[in-house]
Amino acid sequence: MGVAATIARVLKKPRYALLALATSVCVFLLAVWAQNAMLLWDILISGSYRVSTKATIFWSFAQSITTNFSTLAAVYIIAIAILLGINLALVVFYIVQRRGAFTDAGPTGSAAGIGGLVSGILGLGCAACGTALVGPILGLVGAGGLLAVLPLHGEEFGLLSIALLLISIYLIAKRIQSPLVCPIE
Amino acid sequence: MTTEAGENTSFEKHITPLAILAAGMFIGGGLYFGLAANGMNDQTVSQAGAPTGENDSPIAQNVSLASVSAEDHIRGNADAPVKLIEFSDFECPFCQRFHTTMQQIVEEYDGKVAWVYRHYPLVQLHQKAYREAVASECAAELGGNGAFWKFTDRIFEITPANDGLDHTQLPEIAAYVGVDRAAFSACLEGDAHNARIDRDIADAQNARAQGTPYSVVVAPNGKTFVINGAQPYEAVKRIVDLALEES
Repeated sequence: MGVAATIARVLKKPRYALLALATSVCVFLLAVWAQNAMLLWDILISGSYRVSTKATIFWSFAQSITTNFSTLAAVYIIAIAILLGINLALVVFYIVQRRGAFTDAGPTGSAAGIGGLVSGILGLGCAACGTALVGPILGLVGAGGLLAVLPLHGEEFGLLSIALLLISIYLIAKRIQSPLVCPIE
Repeated sequence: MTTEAGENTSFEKHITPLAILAAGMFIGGGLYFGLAANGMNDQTVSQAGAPTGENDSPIAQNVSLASVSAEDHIRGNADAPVKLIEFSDFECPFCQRFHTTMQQIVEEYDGKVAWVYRHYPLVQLHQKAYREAVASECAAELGGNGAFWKFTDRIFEITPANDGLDHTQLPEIAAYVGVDRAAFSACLEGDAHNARIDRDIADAQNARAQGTPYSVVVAPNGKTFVINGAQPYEAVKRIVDLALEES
């Protein structure tokens, strides 16, 4: 079974499809709202506005994907959101599938389980780093000028996140495919 | 043997929410540290000249900002109840998009919103932006506030952004908006307006602007709402409506 077939097998299960979808939507909204997080947070916790007013404001800011991002950035934000959803669904599937390996199969099984987890979690972590951490950290350490020198002014990190997520999904899908057997010593 | 559709163990029941929590921590951590690095989670400074008791307000996005004065470039009714102070860069593609949004806001809120334009050329990214800011000030000096706004509209209309504007076009733009070309060229070669632009830049930095466009909506009672980036018309309209409710 190929990687694509494995992903399809996992996402055909409603529980995992829902998890992937919910994660993707959350990541997308966080990405488009992040720049105005304080304003939106203040509006959210304010007792002065109706829920419908708050919902309208949040929805209007979500539409900034069409005005506040370059075409490239909009594409990679959507891609990262989708890939993160798939990645998380695969990680959860893997953990559920191999839950016995962590406890029953001894050190070898545990190592295999941890290997899959690490590749999945690295994907999540790297996406978070690429989209939100790298730019500000470069600014903090006085390397903000580096972003100006880069051909895509820092959007390279978003593309890097996509690459890392794809690798992570590939690795976790391969782990899911591998049979649960006790190796011959 | 382990099976996929096995028993509904406690482990299985909890793994999904735990996984979401872990992912949330990663993403939330990234956003938190990103925002902290941008200074966006520090909202403790107060607006210069703002009324007292602001900290009791439901929206307390107070920023340190120079008060709007006659020296500002104001579009719309200068005495409008809501002021929107925009820090902008002529070579920023998002400022270009936001300019159209703001034109629409001022037009539709006929007399209720004053649009205040302040310069924040990001010279690290756009080396031509500072000179274009000077050019707009030359247009203002020679043709008044009306010429400044016509010049601003025109430059955003024709610039390809990201340092794409050919500066030999600046006198053409000046002539297009009715400013004397020779006087404009002489002004552009001088440095009479550098202090004004530097003051705007300092004001933007004081207001903790981390990029452009950076807008501060000031309500009639002095409350401030900070809008980062080129938000769509609907988003700006909603915030202006909130500001108008504050009296």
